[in-house]
Amino acid sequence: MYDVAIFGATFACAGFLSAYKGRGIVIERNTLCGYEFINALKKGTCFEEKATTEEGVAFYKKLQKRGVFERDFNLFDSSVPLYECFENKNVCLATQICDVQRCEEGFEIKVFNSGGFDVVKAKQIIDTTCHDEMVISKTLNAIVKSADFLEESGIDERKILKCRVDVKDDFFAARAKLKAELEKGMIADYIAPVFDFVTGENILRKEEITYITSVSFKNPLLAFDAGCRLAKEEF
Amino acid sequence: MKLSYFVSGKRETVNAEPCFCNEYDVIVCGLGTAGSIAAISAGELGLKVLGIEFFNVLGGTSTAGGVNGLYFGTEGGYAEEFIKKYLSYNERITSLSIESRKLVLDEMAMESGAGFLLESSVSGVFYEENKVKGIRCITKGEIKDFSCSVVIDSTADAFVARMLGCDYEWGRESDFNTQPYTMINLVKNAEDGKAHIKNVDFGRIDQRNPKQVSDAYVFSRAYENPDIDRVKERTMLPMELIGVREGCRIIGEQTVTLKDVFAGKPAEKTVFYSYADLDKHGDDVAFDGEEFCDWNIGANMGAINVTVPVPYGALIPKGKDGILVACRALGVDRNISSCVRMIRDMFKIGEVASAAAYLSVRNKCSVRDIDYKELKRMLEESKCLDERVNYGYREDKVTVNGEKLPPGKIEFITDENKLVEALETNRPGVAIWSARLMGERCFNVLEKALESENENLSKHSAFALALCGNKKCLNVLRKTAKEKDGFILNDCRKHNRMRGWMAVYLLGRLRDREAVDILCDILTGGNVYKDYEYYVVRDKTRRFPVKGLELVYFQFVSLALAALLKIGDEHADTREKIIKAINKAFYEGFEREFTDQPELSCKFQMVSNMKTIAQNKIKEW
Repeated sequence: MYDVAIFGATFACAGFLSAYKGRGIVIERNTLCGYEFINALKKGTCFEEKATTEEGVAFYKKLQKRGVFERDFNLFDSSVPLYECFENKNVCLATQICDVQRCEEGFEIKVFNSGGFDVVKAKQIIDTTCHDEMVISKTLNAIVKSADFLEESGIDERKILKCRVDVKDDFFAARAKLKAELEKGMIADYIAPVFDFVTGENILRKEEITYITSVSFKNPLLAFDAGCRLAKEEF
Repeated sequence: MKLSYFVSGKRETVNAEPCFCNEYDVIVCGLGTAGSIAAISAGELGLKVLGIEFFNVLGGTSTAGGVNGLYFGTEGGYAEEFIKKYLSYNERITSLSIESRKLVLDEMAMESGAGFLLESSVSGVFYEENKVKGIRCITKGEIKDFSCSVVIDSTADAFVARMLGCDYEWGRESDFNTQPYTMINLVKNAEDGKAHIKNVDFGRIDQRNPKQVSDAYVFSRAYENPDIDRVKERTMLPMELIGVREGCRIIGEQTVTLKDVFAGKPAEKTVFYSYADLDKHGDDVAFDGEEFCDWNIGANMGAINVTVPVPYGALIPKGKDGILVACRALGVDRNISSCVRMIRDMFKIGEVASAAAYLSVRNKCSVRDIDYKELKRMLEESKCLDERVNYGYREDKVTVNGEKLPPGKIEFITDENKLVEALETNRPGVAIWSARLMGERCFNVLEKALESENENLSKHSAFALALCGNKKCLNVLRKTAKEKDGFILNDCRKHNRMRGWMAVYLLGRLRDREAVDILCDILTGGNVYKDYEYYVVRDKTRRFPVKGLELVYFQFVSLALAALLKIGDEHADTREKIIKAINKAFYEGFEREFTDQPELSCKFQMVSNMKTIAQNKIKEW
């Protein structure tokens, strides 16, 4: 029995893990961590807003030391420190949630992964993922060269192309639209494996499950800091 | 009808009365390198197809895994058009093949008429008797059941076949370990600004264990790659999928073995030719199979390419029906699995599976009973099966002064009198292997050559005799091992071996009890190799030095350990001495004598694993 199960290996989850003293387990469908910003190629805004927690400040300093803020904000250099937050923790990547049921001590979460089905028990659940109903719009992004008019990626000569797609588009449809954009004269180094979601403002919701949607924060550091705050103040 | 699935890694079976949502001719499980081609080509053949994929992209290792190039394999087949098309996208729409493949596969998938469920997982298999009837999958949080005539299992580790209860093997015999996995990063060159990919081999994982898989993903991305030159290169992003090289191997109706390939045994019902070197990653080859080690260490032929005829029966799990395994988990033995797994091989195996499924559905017969002649005709028409790419043995991808040489066919020597000349050189591998093929016929010539004052001839003749099982070479082998001969042979473009290592391996192969003292000294003698000229690049091999590993020391110790364990197996009276040496050698923290890399790294695990192998053997004794 875990004290808490966190859905989504996001920046908010990383922050939570950094500050949480209990026994937690992370359940993530993707094989990636922090994908809602890093792999979605979503840099975020408002980096002048300061972290409010000790752990948030420490994470900021760690990124600063790696030169993440030298040119605008470089998402890519935040990858290693982010993954370090998940090292030696109970993390289940590539694990999908099939069912969540209330039980006497908390929750029984039925999961599926390379070992087949399994059940995880936790007293509480925090969900940091983005659900369909929260999405206002989405883009499929790519790292491109030869396009001066686009957003800087933080890496010399590379820009981020944001291809607006329909909220209901699947990846086949979205990549077809992205390809049409690229054919206008851009060359992609990398096509994001996850969508960049635009959602409503993040409101911490405490129902049976606590919801804190990482991607709804203005930038990954604020999401991280909010995760730390949640661990300190609520758990 | 029965339904089987895994719960916490264990297979469970229940009676089932499924209500199928839809009926398909073919369901392709896993749309990686092989599965994507299988689903698309089956759709184009007019079958009603459903493809199910965990990721949101097709292509697996060749897209999400970041493997950008085509490492060998043979030309021809359905995938040629695909290759042509995605290469035409490079430098026009995308800078790397891993991205252009995504776009082209999407287009082909949409045009094929097949149906696809992305971000979905196969979770169960329905069957009656031993015949597959359908698939259960999880898609968008819902469980759905589909019936089908044929399942193509392209899940890399035969997840469906294992749920069905097929017999299979995993890893190598000595410790059940698989080859190290790779994490590939997208990297940008500072000088020319070009994007490329860079991979690092990490430790071993068992993909059946989700905790190990998860830890591998986290560790490999939190790891600062020591091979990345931070001045010249800039890491952009890690790939979505780790590059797992090995896992399950089904016991097929036919199993390809390295022994049969080396013996030139004709394959029955060949469906394509695989072509690569026995591309074994990780430096602990000492604990691999003897057939493999004879080639790789004993004859120093590691990077020589081998052509392998793959038979249709290697796709059919023994005793099962309605299922074809079209992925790296096909019926091959462990020794050859490192060769039959490249991207082109997987394209071809996908095509073979779809053609076989087509014949099965059209002729209303089992996949086991399709007419091979008809299958052969289809495969020959697309050039998937083409006798012209039966290359035999070749030295390929050799570069001299920056210029790539054309592949050179290896002709083994059949006249024993011609061995001597070749054994005198620093490229004696072909002659050593030729002697192994000749057997007793070459003993007179080689035994005489043992006495030669020419060091190359004497030592290389000893290696050749050892591979033939002739013990007259033992004195020369012992001397070569004792002096820790650091001369590096030059048969291969990579993986070249030192003569000292070869001698140590061969002493173990001959179970030489007189060598126990020499081998124990190597095991416990510490790293005496640091001041040797070993670390000077003595030839053009790319393997020296290896960052983060005292490679020379590790090879001597791991090979000496493997040899001692074999000798101890055969001569029980030597065990006490061997156990004493093992206990002295593998003290707490001995790993740091060999490597400064983290505990989950490939290098650390290789070193640490020696202790486990030794302890397991001691328990067995």
